[in-house]
Amino acid sequence: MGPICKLNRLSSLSWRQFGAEWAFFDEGSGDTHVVDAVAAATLMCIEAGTFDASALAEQVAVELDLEPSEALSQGVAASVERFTILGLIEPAAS
Amino acid sequence: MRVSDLSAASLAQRLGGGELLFRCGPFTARPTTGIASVVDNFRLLYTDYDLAEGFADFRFEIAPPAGLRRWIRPQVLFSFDGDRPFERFPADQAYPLFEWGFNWCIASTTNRYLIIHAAAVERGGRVLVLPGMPGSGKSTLTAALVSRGWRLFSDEMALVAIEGRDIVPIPRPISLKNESIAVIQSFDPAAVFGHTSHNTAKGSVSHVRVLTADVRRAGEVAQPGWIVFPHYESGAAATLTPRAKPATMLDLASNSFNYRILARLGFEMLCDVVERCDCYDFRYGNLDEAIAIFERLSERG
Repeated sequence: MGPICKLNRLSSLSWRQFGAEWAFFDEGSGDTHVVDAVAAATLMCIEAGTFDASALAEQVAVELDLEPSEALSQGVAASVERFTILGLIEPAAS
Repeated sequence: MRVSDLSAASLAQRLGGGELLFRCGPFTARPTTGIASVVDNFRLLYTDYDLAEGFADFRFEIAPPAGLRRWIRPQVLFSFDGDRPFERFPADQAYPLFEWGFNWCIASTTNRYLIIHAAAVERGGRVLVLPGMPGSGKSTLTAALVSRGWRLFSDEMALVAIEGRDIVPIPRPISLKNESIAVIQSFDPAAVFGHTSHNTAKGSVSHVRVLTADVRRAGEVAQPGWIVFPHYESGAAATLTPRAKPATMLDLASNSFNYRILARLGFEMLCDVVERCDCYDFRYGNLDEAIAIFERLSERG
């Protein structure tokens, strides 16, 4: 079981899909980002609830209609790391 | 009543006394100036604009500063409601300062539109939005397109309406710099130019008068159709390359004057605009080739 994370309490996201990519706006920072489907699904899942790393990867696979895989888990983990650096997500109290 | 209905003396008197209110696209402006070069250029370049009455969206002044500077090395100051956002300019750059100051008024104080730093021209009911950094050839391309039948919305800022996401015209003189002045004088011999100011921060600057028909149609909005990032490169063949919409969205956001101020609304507006448009990068080195490409683009609809 990995660390538990949740959306930064100051963040509020708006989403728009452009083909295989997503743009989102974070009202908390005023920043706009463009991400691929895996990163988008990862952040949307976190936005919707609180997950540990393994549960998050499983949920992302469900959302994207993909089989769970090591590559997908790595993509989810990389997304979590990126969003943490950006301050969009933060550790949740367990 | 239009600016052209005023005699030279009456225009100078009104401008000098802050008694001239004119309509420019969706805005009204009340400039005050007694500087002859500004009055002369204004008379030449704004001749077709309607005079207005009542409330002014923008009240600004171009005037010499107080003190000995006025005599030793003449300078001018721009002020907006008492605020002075720029340093003093040499007096012979007063007219460019008028235009840059007017741009500043719109970009700094207007949030009833999403404002993108881009030129915009229309044909067949669809607007071609041309964002571009200085030196990209945006204004030169705009002047060339207008001379070949595209309607000028703006050479500096594309206004996106909150309702309907239409592009709103604000046709004002096209600012050309350095070599572009001679290029357009040759490409469009009928174009009417204001006086050229030399040695400005942008080099030599001159402004091209908006066609009368485009001033008269300033109330006609249109839908965004294309977003094209131009890039002038000497000798380059004209090539239009499709551009990803997400990257276009991000680039437009960074080219917008008030995207962050509008926040979530700005995001929704910009996404709507990008969704509706075909997006391209455009490299060109020859105006005739460039015009031909945009003609084909507009014919495809």
